[in-house]
Amino acid sequence: LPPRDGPSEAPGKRLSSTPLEILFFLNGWYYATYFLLELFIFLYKALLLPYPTANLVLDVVMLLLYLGIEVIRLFFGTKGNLCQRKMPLGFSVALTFPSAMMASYYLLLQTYVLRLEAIMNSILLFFCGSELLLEVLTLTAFSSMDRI
Amino acid sequence: MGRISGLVPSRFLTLLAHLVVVITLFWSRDSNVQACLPLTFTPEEYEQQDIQLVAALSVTLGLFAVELAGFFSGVSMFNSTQSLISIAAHCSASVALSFFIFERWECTTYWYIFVFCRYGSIRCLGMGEEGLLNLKVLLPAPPHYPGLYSMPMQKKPDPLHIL
Repeated sequence: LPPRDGPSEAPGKRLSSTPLEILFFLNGWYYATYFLLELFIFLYKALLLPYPTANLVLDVVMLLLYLGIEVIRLFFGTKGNLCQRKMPLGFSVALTFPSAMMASYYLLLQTYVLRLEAIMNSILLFFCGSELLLEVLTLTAFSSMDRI
Repeated sequence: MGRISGLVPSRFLTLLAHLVVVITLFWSRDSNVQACLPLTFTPEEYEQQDIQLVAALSVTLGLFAVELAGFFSGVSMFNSTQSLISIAAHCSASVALSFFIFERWECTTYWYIFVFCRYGSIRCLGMGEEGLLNLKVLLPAPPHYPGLYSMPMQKKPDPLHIL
């Protein structure tokens, strides 16, 4: 087999980060639960609290956009980590910032914030923060591989 | 054996659900503390009951740290019995604590929920970490929590002298 160029040319040299993979896996499941929970919470809030319609529509549409961003971020993150490629992992790092911003929006700037929502969003922020840290470390590990 | 079963995410999610309910209870314990007190109470009595509930919740959070460490270190990932018992304990604890918050149960009920659910999950944690060392489980209670439930290790009473 001809040697492939890129960081994966040395067989047996495994630079993928297992904790990062664990975090991506659990984040995926946690985000699925969070999304369903937020849909129900919006239904509950819309029925119970006096909502101006524009705010409600904004919040629900932002939730759908958040779903899209998060799915793409986690997918690129796992693929980049497992294939030991820097480009998908870098893209995932770039998407972590909008993801964290959305979580802070739902934590702080929403029209009505429930205590349950506050806790769920802080856990999401915790996931984003630790994944960002591990992604940066993994990227440096991949880059040091290139220089050899 | 390379396939990740569905038990790991279920365990994580029930553990987190329990944690979220405990944090919510910490945040909104006012109505529960008032349920423990008589109809007219002094601020000192309120403080006393409040401190008791805060102590119970802090112990719970400490045990959560231990359980999360055990989960993330992965020592118990392949022990399905332990995962199932852990899932069942945390699920029942989340439901019971949600009732505790919404129905404003009285404070001593929290200790019953705590003992019932925590005992199961701590015992499982003991199983997981000793299973790593290939030891059989001999203890009914983990050694680092002796004060929570008084079950001393003694022989069962044998009135008919069978044993």
